Amino acid sequence: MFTEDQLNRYSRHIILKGFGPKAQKKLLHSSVLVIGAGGLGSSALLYLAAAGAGKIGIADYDKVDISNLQRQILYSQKDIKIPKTEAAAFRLSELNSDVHLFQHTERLQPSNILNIIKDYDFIIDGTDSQKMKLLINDACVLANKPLAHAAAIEFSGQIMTIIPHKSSCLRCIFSAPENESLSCSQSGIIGAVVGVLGTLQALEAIKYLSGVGELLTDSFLSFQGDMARFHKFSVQRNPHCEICGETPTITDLNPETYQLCK
Amino acid sequence: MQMKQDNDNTTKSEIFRDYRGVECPMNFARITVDLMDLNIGDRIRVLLDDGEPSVNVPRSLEREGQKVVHKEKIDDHWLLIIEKRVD
Repeated sequence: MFTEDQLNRYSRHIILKGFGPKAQKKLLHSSVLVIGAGGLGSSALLYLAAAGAGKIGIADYDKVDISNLQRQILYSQKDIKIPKTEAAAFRLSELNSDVHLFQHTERLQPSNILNIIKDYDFIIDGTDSQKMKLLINDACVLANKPLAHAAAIEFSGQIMTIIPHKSSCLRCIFSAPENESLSCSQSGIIGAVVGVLGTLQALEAIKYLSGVGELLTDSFLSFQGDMARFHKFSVQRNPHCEICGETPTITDLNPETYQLCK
Repeated sequence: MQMKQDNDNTTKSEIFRDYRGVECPMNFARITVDLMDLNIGDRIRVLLDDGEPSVNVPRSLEREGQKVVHKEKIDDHWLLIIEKRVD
């Protein structure tokens, strides 16, 4: 049963046709890991905590910098030089003390990622490096963990949800990058654009965890903020995919495959 | 909780709630949570304030697919009998 506080706090979910108290209960008993507490992670984490996801993991090894504040809305000026996981956990606990928060401050790598994601029902990729995104994709496919992928740069972004072995994964669509492409640290980004994508990731997690609605699987949603355009297009599983195809060539997380930039 | 025998011989239960003084939409939220624990065919007798609650709550319940089988004004408040029709 709901506590008096929960009944009031989640009343707009409870009275929502198609959501209701059962979906809220599921959400309260679910867990989600947000990898990267930056621009994507900020809006995703805030909405997940507000919605009452029961357990939220925050994975980030960085500290808050003044250049983050233009888009990473979890943080304030007082958080500068503080580890992001610590500042984020404090902010989220102030927002909703119902939520159990776990901080992962170690840098995620092939050697530790499987051990970290195993305790969560759903994973959100809020990182900004292509190699890291492939590592997260591969780890989620190997561990059979659903994942909301998103990326944003300049005025644009994209999002896709991956249910391993049931819907297309990143490697079904993209081959491994030869060179690391631009990230927010080298190129610009409108804060509101990355906020839109992070919010959509939170929505995908909420839908999956509560069993409500239709997921953004086997399709890519791209967003062009400067043109105010959303475009959704279908993708398909690739039977020759290196990790989720019929005869996968990637069967473990070899560190050489993911030489992450320091 | 009261028990009653229905025409189809299945035992239905009925609960009573007094939500006078509870504003919209919290009265509807509370009824929605009450309904969650009931079986199809079970009923809630609920007291609501006059004004917005007496209009909004029955409308929202019907929209959810539940059945308001009785609605009666008693003095300055309303009695509603709601039957659970959908999970």
